Parts: sequence; C-alpha cells; structure tokens
Amino acid sequence: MKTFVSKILLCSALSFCLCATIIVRAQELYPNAEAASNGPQDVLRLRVMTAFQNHDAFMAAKGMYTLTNDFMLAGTLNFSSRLADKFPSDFTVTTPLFRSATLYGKYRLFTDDAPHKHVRLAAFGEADIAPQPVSHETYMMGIKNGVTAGLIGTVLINKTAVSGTASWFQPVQFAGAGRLPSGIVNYALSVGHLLLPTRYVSYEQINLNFYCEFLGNVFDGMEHQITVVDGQEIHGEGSRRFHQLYVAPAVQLIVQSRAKIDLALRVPLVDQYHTSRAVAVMVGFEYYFF
Amino acid sequence: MKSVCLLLFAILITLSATIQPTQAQFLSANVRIDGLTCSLCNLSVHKALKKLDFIEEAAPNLDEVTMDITFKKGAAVSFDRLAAAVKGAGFSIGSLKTRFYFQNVNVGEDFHFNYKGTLYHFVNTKERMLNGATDMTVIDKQFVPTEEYEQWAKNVKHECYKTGIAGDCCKEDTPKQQKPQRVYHVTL
Repeated sequence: MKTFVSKILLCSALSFCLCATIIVRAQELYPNAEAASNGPQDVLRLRVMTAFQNHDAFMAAKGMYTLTNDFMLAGTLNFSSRLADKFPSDFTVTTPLFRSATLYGKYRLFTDDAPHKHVRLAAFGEADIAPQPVSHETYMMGIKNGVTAGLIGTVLINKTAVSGTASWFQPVQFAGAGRLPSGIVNYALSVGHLLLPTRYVSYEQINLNFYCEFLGNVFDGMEHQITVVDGQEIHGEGSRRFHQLYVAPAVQLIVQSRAKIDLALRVPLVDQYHTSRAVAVMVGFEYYFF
Repeated sequence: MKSVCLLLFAILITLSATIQPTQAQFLSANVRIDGLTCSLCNLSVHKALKKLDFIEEAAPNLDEVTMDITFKKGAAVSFDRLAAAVKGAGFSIGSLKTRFYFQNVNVGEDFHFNYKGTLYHFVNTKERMLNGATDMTVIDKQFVPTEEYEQWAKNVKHECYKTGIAGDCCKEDTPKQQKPQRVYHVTL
C-alpha cells in the first residue's frame, strides 16, 4: 500500500513538472532553491519552515537581507528531532533541538532585464556550523557542517522562469564521528508557474503559484560490502559513487504582496544511499518587512 | 447660504484642478519596469520609489508593469536616484517618459536646458517652440534596454551621451570652474 501511494505521488509530481515546463507565466520565488535574483534592498525578510518526514520533524528560521543592489546575506537556524549520529536513525526526541546554523551570501554577477525576459547569474557561498556531529541523513534538510560554493542561473523568457543551480559542498568532519562523503556535488532545476491571478489589478490579490523543483546530489561515500572468499563472507566497507535525486512539487500563496505561504512535497526519485526514502512534507511562511 | 458655500467650494475645486503650473518644472513620469512579473516584486519597486523625497505619488499599473509618478511641485528631480531605487528593488528601468512644463522655449537638436543644476540635452529633435506640459523620453543608459542604448549610441555621437557628464557640446551651458555636471539626454 505504501509503495502504491509513493508511486501515485511520484506520477503526480512528474506529471505536474511536465505541465509546469510548458506553461506560459512563471515565478521564481522557489520554496527550495534560491533564484539568482536577490530580494529588494534594505528590506528584511523572515522565513519559517517546518518539514515532516516519517516521524521526524525539522524546523528552520531564516532571516534575509539585501545589503546592496547585488549582494544579499541570509542566516538560518536549523532544528531537528532526529539525532542520527548518536542514536539509531529512527530515534526521535519530542522537541526539535538546535542542530546547525547557516550563513549564506549571494552576489549577482550578471543581469539582463527586458520586457518579458530576464537573464541573471549569481554566485553564492555558504558556511554551515553544527555543534554536534551530523550525518548525511539530515543533509537534504540543510543540517550539515561545512562550506558550500556555487552558481545559480535564472532565465525568464515569455514569462516562463527556469533556474539551475550547481554547487560543491565540502564537509568538515567531526573527530570520532561517522564517516561523511569527502565532498558533494549538488544540482537543482526549478520551474515556477503563476496560476492566479490571470491579470494583476491590485496588491491585495492573492497569488497562487505552482513550482516543480528537481534537487539532486552526487558524492563518493562508503557502504557496507560483502565479499565471498573461499566460501567465507567477509564484511567490510568500500567506496562507491552515490546519486540522490528528489522531485519537489509545491503550491504557494502570496498574500497582500508581502507574505508567502508554501506547501511542498519532496519525493525521492533516485536514492542510492537509502537515507531519505520517505516523502517529506514541508510548510513554509515568509514575510517581507517593507 | 449653504448652497452658495457649496457652489463656491465646487468652483474652487474646479479651478485648482485646472490651474496650470506657472514656472518650469517636472510634473510627472511614466516608468516601465523591466525584469519583473509578480505583484510582490512590483510592491518592492513601489515602496522604494515612494521613499524618494521628490516623488509625491506613485501609482502602479501591475499588469503592464508601469508606474505613473507625480513629482512634488518644483522639486529637484533626480532620474539617477529614481533608477537606483528601481535597481535596489532588484529590477531595471525599461523606459522613462517624463512631463516637463515649458514656458515658451525654442528647442531643437542639441538644445540644452538647465533645471536646478542638471542639464538636459535634446537629441533627435526638430526645431520647435514648447509651451506647456510636454512629454520627453530619457534615453540615457540606465533608462533604456541595452539594445536600444546601443542603437542610440550609433546616432548620438557626443561624448556626453556615453559619460553622462557635460562635455564639449554642453560648454555654453556649463560655467567654467564648476564640478562635472550631470547631463541627461532627452527626445520628444
């Protein structure tokens, strides 16, 4: 039954993404990936996000501020009820605990604005600090310890917006903690679609947006391997390349042109590492303090 | 008595609405914002423009992504600050048409006028007399798309079009020993 539900969810997500790529009007206020654009200068934005996956709860509080025309900073506090490295992965605590903090900076390198068209390119850097050991299991939820650098490209032509992100994450290992990948290549492809209103008349109109994002990563990791020598099974660890890919369909409401509410799913398409097979449900709220 | 008061009040209102400005000044502008598609983005631009001290009111047309701006009476309008506000909100100006109140001014190609310390250089303009509210389009780099700027740059050979600073062609209008003077290029 569970597998059937997963397949239905996957088919729905893929169908939606296919539709989203052929629509004519788009938005780039993605719930998961960052677009190459920055927010308005001197306007504080606060975002609260909660995610549920199996019996685990994740929370994040993020503050964003655009300092100059091209440069923005963001800080995030991540909380989780999962303590994977200290306890079995299904162990949960009732109250989400502070797990990591993130400092993110993005610089817009290139801008070409025109009616019904914009092309933007940005570079970003991110530092993640976790006071306790972290595992790869919480990586996709933003709980990690290391640094990231990457590029984002956003194109909007005839009101169809597509963003692509590529980045490298360099983990910082904790002494004595479980082994982590030596580095992770991340990629994302995001498409956004404005469904309502069909015609803008006032700031009070509620906007309804649909998004579809593909979020993936590739890394070399260790896995448990069994070799048979002279009929004897020898258990050991070996390195191999892993690929994880998730599709994240989302619906978003923009209220009063200053508050964003989004509901997203994250469905695994490829999960060779067997860490996050369950569908994650995410709810986000963001407010612009104009 | 009450009806007389009402009548006087109505006449006063009508007169105030029809009164023309008595001195040269910027009245309004229509700005097309490029690169945005959402009302949230439009509100960012709107809020940024309303912070400018020379803007009285900014009325958005959300669907066409334009902003109708009314300037404060006799204010020192700065189109550079206007462009910076739009850029700070994350977008670009696609076109800027502004309405200026002229008083019997004979304009033509390369005609300059000085308003509150800033020069305005007419290009692609046939000789004519301007009297009253007149629409002009600003064609400098920050106020038109790149392709359009490059097209204008082929026709407007003056160095000041590239630098935005008063140059040789503006000398008559620029007193000596004055610091570099901003010059905008406009066309009718």
